Amino acid sequence: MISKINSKMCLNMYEQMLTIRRFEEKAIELFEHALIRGNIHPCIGQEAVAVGACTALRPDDFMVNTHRGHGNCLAKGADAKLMMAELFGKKTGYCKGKGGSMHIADFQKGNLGANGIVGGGLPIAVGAGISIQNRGTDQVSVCFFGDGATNQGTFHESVNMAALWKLPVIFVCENNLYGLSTPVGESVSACNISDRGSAYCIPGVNVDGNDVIAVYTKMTEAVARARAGEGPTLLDCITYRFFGHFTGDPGKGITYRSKEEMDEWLKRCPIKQFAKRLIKEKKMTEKTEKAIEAAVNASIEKAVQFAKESPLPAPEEALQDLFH
Amino acid sequence: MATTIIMPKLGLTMTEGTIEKWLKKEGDRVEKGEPLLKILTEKINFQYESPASGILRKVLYKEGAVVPVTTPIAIIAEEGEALPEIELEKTQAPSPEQAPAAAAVRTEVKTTGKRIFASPAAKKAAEEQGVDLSSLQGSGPEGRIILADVAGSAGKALVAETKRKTAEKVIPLTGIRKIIAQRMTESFRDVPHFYLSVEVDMSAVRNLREKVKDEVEKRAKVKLTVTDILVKIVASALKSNPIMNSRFAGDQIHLLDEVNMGVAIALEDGLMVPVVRRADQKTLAEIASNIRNLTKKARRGKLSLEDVTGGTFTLSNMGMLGIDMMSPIINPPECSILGVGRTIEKPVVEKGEIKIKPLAWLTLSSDHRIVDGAAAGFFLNRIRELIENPSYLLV
Repeated sequence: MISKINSKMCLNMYEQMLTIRRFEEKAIELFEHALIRGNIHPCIGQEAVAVGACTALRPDDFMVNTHRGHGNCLAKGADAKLMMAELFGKKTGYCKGKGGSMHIADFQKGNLGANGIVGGGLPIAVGAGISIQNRGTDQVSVCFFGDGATNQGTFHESVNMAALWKLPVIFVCENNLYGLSTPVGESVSACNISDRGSAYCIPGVNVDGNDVIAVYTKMTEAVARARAGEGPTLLDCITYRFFGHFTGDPGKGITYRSKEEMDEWLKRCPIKQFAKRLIKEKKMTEKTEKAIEAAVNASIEKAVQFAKESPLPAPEEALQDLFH
Repeated sequence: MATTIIMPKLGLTMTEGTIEKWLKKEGDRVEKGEPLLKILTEKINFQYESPASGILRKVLYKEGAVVPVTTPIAIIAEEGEALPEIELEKTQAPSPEQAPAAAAVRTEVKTTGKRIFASPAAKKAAEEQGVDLSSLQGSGPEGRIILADVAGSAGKALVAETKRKTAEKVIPLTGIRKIIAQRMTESFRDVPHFYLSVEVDMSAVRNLREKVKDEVEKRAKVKLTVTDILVKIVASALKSNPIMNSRFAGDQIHLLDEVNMGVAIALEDGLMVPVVRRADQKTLAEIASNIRNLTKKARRGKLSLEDVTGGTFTLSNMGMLGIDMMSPIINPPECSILGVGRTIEKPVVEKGEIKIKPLAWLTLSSDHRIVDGAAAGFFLNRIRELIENPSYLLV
């Protein structure tokens, strides 16, 4: 299957996943050094979902994502420099320093914004779907959300409406098995989140969220359906986060998860296993791997430098860009 | 390249952290990702992993030091590499220059295999002096071995030294202890306490417990205790004496709708008061189940903010600790607190005859700004009435 996808695309995906990983690690380090003031919710471990899904999209496709959205933003083409500047609260950031980690938006790349409200992005993604249908284009609207969000009323209302009107929306659940510290088994009544698709007569697809090619493949199918006017799909991407819920839950978040479980998932790190596979299938050499690592590290350092050197917004700008 | 390790910011509101324990010492080789030290904050206990590989060339603060966030605490570099000049920040513990003269030879402390309860200070002292903990009699709470118990003159000298050179063995006032210190000072200073005591006959409560404990166990899978019954009784009395379920608010007294009963639990770190919400509306089985669950969470350090806020009254049962009578300090901003002592068989005179009854002292501490002796006395009497006639709960 991987041979049908060309080497260049694979190397791109690998580099993107690594960029996300290093970005998040650097952001955590900056928080520890009190250089980033607000909490962040790193998506370390979930890179394959972001990259696999966004690689199947066009720049003019819409995307809405969550508080754990740095990966999705980067995968949808965001500039790490402008993202880092936003985390630093600088004027040059995506939201002029006034939005922060959970509100990064980039309309040029179809990124309608991250959302700090659990399940808050779903209605917005459906709205974008209605806009596409009204304008008659073949764009699609992708909504990223977590396992916890599938219990929110907004999920059910959104999926129902999209299914009923055959809107070009793809619902991608980044199922990392925990809503903060609550395991899915204690909050989700369905046996699998993908089963929730059948309640709305749409396909519910189970995906190995740590296999970037699997995510890409299933996403491509869902995108094709949507573009052809066949309606929405629910993708349940099973993955795991290797850090705590956020920077106030540091370390590996093992006060509510067992070390054994964490170790099992660490063995299936999406980046490590993709690198291994690419080298085995001769799509990447170890030399290239090192070169990519060096390039990624350099770009992250550049992003931090840019952010540090950027100015803060002036106090006079506080009420600009607000609805009031 | 040398890496300066700083006290990391581990939470949004964290301003300082305590170095609880270094897991590596100067000169050790450290790999990136290896646990380097244990940090204690107001909210969490955290094992911090090294962000770099190399030799731990310098440790800048000792265990016990309380250090502001982003302060350099150590340097990792390769052998022979030049180290950056670091100016030490003012902290609440001495810098390494004043290290104690006695270099303790660490010996293996043997145990009998049975779990021994000893405070961390006692364990450290025992290890340093080669004392077997299992041979000691603990004089701390619930028989715990404390620093002063650690054998002979060595132990006593250490305690004395601790008192003299206050820098030597410092318990930083952080976490629970700090919060208790603040709140109890506030309560003791600002609230005019008065104390009313009654000695009650616990036989009816004991009988009730005997009668229903199996049913409770069947329903809630937990054992019913006397405290559970007292919670129900006091909650009921509060419902019929609303002035006691209140809060002082400057120029107002707020009478509260819900009766949320705080139950005092003694933990190694300090006192915690998890809350049983709407205790007056719960059955004995529900109360027992609630309290058992909260106690378990408390012992594991997993109480949530919701578990410990919103209380309207506190019950403190020191009977199991062998205390006969107590004058508890009100848990602010509540109006009142009830302290329960131990139940002892005593002779009483009933209708001219001497009978043996299980009696216990109850002491009610109340805020004189809100209530006077009469109201508090009325309430306390209602509690006694319910304790001696629990069937009145149904009336």
